[in-house]
Amino acid sequence: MHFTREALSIDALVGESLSYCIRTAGLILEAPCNGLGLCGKCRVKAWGDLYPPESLENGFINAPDVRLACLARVRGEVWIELPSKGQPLKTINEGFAIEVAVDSCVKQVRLPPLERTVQPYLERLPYNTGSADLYRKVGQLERVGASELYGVLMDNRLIDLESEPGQILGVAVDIGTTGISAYLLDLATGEILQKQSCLNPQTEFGSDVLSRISYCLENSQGPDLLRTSILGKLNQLVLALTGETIRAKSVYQVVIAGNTTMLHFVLGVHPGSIARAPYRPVFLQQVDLKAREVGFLINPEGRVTLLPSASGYVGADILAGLVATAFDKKDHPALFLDIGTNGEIVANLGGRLIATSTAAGPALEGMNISCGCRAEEGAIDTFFIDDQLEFHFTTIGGTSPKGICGSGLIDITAAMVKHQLVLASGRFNPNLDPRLKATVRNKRFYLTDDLYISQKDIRQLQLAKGAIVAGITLLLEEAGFPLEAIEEAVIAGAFGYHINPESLRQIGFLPKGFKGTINFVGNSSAEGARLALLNQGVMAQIQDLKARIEVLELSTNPRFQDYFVKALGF
Amino acid sequence: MDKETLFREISHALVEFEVEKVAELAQETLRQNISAYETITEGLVTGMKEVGRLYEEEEYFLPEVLMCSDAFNAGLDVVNPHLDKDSLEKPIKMVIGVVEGDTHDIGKNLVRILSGASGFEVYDLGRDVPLDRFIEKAEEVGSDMICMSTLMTTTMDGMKIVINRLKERNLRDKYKVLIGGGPISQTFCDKIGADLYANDASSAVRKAKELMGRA
Repeated sequence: MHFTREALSIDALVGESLSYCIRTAGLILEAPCNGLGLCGKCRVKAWGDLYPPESLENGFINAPDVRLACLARVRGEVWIELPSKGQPLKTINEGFAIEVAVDSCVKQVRLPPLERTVQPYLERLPYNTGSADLYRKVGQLERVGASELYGVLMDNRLIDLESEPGQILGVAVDIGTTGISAYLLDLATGEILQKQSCLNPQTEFGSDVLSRISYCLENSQGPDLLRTSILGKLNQLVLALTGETIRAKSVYQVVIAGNTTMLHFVLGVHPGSIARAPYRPVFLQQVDLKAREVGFLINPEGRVTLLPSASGYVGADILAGLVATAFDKKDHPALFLDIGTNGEIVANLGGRLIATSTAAGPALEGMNISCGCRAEEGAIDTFFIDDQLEFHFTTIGGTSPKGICGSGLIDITAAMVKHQLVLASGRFNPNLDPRLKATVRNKRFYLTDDLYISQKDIRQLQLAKGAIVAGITLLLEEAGFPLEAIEEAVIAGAFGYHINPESLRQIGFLPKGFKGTINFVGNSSAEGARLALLNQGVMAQIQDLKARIEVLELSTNPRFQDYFVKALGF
Repeated sequence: MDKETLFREISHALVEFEVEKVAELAQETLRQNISAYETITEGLVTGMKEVGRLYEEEEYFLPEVLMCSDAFNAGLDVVNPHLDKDSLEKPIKMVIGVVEGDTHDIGKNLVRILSGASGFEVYDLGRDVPLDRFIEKAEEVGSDMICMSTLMTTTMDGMKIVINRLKERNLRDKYKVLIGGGPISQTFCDKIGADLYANDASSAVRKAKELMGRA
């Protein structure tokens, strides 16, 4: 098999899928549905001796030499052209956060000089000191001498020793299912020195949590592969943040927030039980491990902290976000929403915190949508129809439109509802405004000559918002709290950040009767990880939240279906 | 109103989910001594067939289907006490449930409702159903079909296990196995050797009838 773009050839066995060969070659192609042949997003150009496509594949391919990598199988010599990569994901590397004082568990101290005493130097110090690395360093210093000594303390343990005062660094990470964000912090001053973000490389094993767990169920090395994938990327990020390996050794703590499954993958723990009722994870509590034990290329005595989660589907990312936005301290009733394939919902009802999650499906991430795509260059991200019924849209990067991402989908749907292209039921209006008639053909609304929203796309969006609205309604009902009393909805995550709140209201993304304000807080999970890294009190507060928050499981609630169906309309 | 017009009106009112009107029209059939059997098959079931068609064509969505099925049941409640049970064709029996490990059951419920409205005798095992329970219940009630659903990729292999256990017990040919749910596809159906896959509730019912020779 020949990869034309990469000028690379490999041997493949007859009958192997293209996606398998791509992985074998060490190349990356995203496979959102993990090879089920459902999403059609792994299209590649391939020609040569391939088995002909079957009906499932035919449904997705419409041009010669275009095949689905997950279904097309090799019969002989094959040439393949992968799509050009390096499309940066538009994600947000910032978020709203409260201010906290700097009080990290990592501190630098001036140490007494090396005096001529009988007692070993380290054993005279008022700290715990036993480590081979430290002994080696003191051994060196005994030989060459040092006029000044500075130590790095973690809690009350001496973990490093230098002859000059260096920087003490920390890294805060949010591992999202789709994107990763990381900050480099000076732990003495609290200053953010660098930021980095990237696509989660695990997307090649499936775009959502469930398909990655499925991968682990089908492949015994799955958890290992997913661990290697994420750790490799995290170590790259640390290097990119610090600029050089030697400086990476000055990183003494990494604090990680993420959903429960992502945290399992960091440790290579099989997450299978999270994806089966009763959806039980292997661990929820905060995990503190030595960097070398986890495989982080920072100071080997440094600490890697995985923040605690509340349940299998209400993860550390949510708890971190709550703390970053001081959501738990709000003095008015409020909702906190983080919307992706799963929508997480937390309510603060007079100090009582209740959380749940609901299966929103991948529509809001541009998947399962005919012309959907991720928030990347060329994605339509805003849209409106003006009073003269002219269309206006923008694309990410300002390039020509190639697809529609989640925020675009919401804007477009809102415009369709507003201008009665669709009825409240979600059905295309049979009596269209004559001036708009030409834009609707075959139950498809055409924004451009080749980009459209189909009836099925509208249905997918209805399912997503129905799940979220039903989740909110049921949660409040369980708590015995009226919707009208909720004063604020806080929307976290990349999804909300780029969305027009008016469009959200137009399509009824929040339950009818919600009168409060809508505030977007961006990547509050990364912010929470940053605050926890800077301040031990915040870390303790997250643990306290984990203990306090009540978690409801909605899918087993007999009334969920009623609320869901009622919430589907616009 | 003659009989044919009455049936047409019932179908129409059902498709428009006019619950009370369907019930009133059903009363009218009783007053005219029209057989309950005919009212059901010619009026109510015909209406639900139309609902199924609209659903498959994406004109109707879950709320409309559920409202129509309310209208169907309102009509059925009126005429059912007068039904001559002997006139009925032996119904197709189906055992249905969401496979073990999954608690998402809205899709399954929709299949139950639509198949019930098409004259199936449905035994609903609920959600997170232990795999052996499908076979036990099918054996117990003398079912024709075993229907399994799941929304999660992580639990879909349970369907394959049920089929394998049917084979081990030499029961595979006794039942038609129908599968569906978000991650299920025709490819998966072929792979595990199920008899039928449908990608929505309405086509599930239509295809199940075809498979049983009742189209």
